[in-house]
Amino acid sequence: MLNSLRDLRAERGWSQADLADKLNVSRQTVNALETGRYDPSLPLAFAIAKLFKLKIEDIFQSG
Amino acid sequence: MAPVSQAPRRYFIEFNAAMLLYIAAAVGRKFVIHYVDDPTLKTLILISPIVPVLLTAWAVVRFYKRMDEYHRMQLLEALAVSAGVTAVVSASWSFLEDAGFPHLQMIDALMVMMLTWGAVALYMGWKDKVSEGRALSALKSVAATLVYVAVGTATYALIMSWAGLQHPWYVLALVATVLFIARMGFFIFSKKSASC
Repeated sequence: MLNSLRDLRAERGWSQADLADKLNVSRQTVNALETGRYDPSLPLAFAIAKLFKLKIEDIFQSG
Repeated sequence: MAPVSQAPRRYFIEFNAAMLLYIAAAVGRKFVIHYVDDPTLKTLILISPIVPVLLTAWAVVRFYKRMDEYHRMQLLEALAVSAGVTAVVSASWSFLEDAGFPHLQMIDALMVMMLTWGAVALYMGWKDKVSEGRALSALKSVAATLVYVAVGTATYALIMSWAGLQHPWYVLALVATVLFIARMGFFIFSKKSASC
């Protein structure tokens, strides 16, 4: 699954650790999400969408 | 909900406390047993290491619950691989025993499982480091840990030799383990690496 997490994070000037803190996940998890090595669960996807004030499909696209 | 970043610290404390208790029970029971006549009490003392084993399992469960979903997936994958490897090894070994290979005990299956679990977990951690472009710093860190443990253990052995005291291999192994745990503790409790 493709996602625009890295761009969204960069737009806000957040580090991976900053985003990890906001989502209560580890930095490794943010890295795995950004590099497409891991697809989030629905609750985490909703949490990400809520944080960025976007819809899930605006952030994640099927690859 | 406790922050995920606290999970390794709490696990480090709980796991090592359980391990200390395990060592105390496993070693201590051999000394205490000679002073006990009551058969029921003897049995209880002999099986006492089961308690810290259960505490260790409890620490792992608590760690699992505090992890985020990505690390839970990694842990379960490592556990699944280790269970599969253990099943294959134990099933195959029973036939090898028929062909004259040495008889192994149930505890040996646990060793296979733990070693495989650790190896797979290390491999997954390594893949993360490579993906983050931190492979070289990770290798340096591993090398520094090995040097620290080796030099520390050798220093202990030299001091013991200089003092004319014996230092059997299991004492050196214990010293190396303590140094390794101290090093891990330093990493886990330093702000830089406070992540799951």
